[in-house]
Amino acid sequence: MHIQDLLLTHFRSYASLELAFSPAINCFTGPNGSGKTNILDALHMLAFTRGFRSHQDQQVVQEGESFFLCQALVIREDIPRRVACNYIKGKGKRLLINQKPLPKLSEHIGSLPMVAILPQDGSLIDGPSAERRQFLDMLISQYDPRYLQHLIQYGRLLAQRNAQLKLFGEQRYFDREQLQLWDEQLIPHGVAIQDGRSQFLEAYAPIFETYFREMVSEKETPSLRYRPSIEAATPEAWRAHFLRQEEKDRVNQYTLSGIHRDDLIFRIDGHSVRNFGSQGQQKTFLIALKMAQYDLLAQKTGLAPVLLLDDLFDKLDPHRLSRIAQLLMTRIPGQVFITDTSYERLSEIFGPEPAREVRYFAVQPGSVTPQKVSAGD
Amino acid sequence: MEFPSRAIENAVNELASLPGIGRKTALRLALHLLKQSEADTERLGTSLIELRKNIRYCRHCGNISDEEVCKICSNPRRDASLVCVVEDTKDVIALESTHQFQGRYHVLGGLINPLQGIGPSMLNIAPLVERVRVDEVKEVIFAFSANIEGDTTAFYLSKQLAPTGVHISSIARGIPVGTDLEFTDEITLARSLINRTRLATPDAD
Repeated sequence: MHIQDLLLTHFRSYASLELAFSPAINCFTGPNGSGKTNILDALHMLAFTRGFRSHQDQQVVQEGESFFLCQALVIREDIPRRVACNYIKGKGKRLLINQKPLPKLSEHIGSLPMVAILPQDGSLIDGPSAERRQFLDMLISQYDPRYLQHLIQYGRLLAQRNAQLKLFGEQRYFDREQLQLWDEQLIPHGVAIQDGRSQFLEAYAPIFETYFREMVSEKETPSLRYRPSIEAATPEAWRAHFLRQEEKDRVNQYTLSGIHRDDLIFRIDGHSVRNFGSQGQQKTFLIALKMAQYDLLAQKTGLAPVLLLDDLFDKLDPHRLSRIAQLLMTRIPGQVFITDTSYERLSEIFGPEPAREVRYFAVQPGSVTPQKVSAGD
Repeated sequence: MEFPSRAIENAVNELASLPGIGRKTALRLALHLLKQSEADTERLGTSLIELRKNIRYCRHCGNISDEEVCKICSNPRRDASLVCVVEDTKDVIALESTHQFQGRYHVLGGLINPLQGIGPSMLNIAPLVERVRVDEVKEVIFAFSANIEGDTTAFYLSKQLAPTGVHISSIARGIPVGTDLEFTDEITLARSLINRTRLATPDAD
């Protein structure tokens, strides 16, 4: 599966843009603020019906204009489809496949499988634990719709349990039986989610580790571990834990344990990546996490997803860079889009005779010029 | 909104405090009442005052009633051994319109919902337990909305009623009549499978 061309009108910094892509690797280079990321944003829009830079479509429209058009020819299993995501101020956004509008935007999601690695994804490593839970939940929900239902129910029940704790605090009384009313319903969902997370990580962690090892020298040993808030995924363990924590929950008027307090622990050679990892190590960790996500998506869809790499190569040493380039040329079957400030850096890591076709584009404010193509085998 | 009269403003404020009525609708209603004859408006006012003053809650079931005991509870043809527990009077009206239920009701006046500040002690629960214990009640049916508040209330009531040894059941949850299977959401469908109904049992040899 690949994106053959892209047509933009009044899309962010581009009044009008027309590009033809390589089905293999596409590199966009240019100075900061020239509009490289806007191209990836447009591709993201075509896959997920929204960009990653802003949640408001109005901000995607070029200044002073009232609409944007974003369309591409997507070849999937040899069948070309024209996918368009258009927005008109005051009228909203529409997604069209071969000129035919889809009744619901959400119907489209998943039909153009894509994985994006963006600078802001760094918060997955050094941000709050909620980011890592969200990442995990998004991955698991794709495979198991029941998991998503458990999450929704758990969220509702947790809100009621917390409200009950608050009510006890305000009214200065406590009734264990009333609290356990919520526990008894919350626990089955919590146990299912905890079980789902640990089973998923058993499959996901080895794939992640393989990718990580391929990017670094053998000396570094990564570990990706699930740290649940409650010791075991059994109703008995949850009940006992809630009982032990009852006093603390009452004082805080909030449920301090459960799957909403789980975390993922990232380590290299036993040290926390978040606290002790260099920027390069953190980035490598992130790339491996996303590559493993790519692997799972490819397995699930039976297609080769599109991979976006936004401004990722800064602060990585030449050794790692060449290994990542190797990975992109040998292990990633799908189309790749890369942005970077330095053309020299990219042409050096892919070399004069890369294993896959590499097409270079020079980006200047408002325009993109195709440059050389290094043919693959 | 600027009003030409104090009286209009007061009426609009009162009407707008009702559920589902905004200030514009309230103004339209107030102006409409002014156009009607004085007797019409007086009848409306009197009916509202009577609603407040004369309505009572049934001593047995908690439903809205003109008398101390409501029409359903005082009807000797209604089966007193069968009690259907509901959230509100509007649920009684909905169930009555099915003409399928010959038992009696018990109105809780809400569901357990801490987010809205409603705990079990604020609901009409103790009289239900008392009723089951004293009267000859054989079965209690829960007819609640299919959400977590409904499930929680059912769960709480089953615990409260357990010592009485009464039969407890809940209305079925599943596919609405006249709906295509393919358009039914997964949760409802999954629940319908779990709570499937047996149509025939092969004869045991």
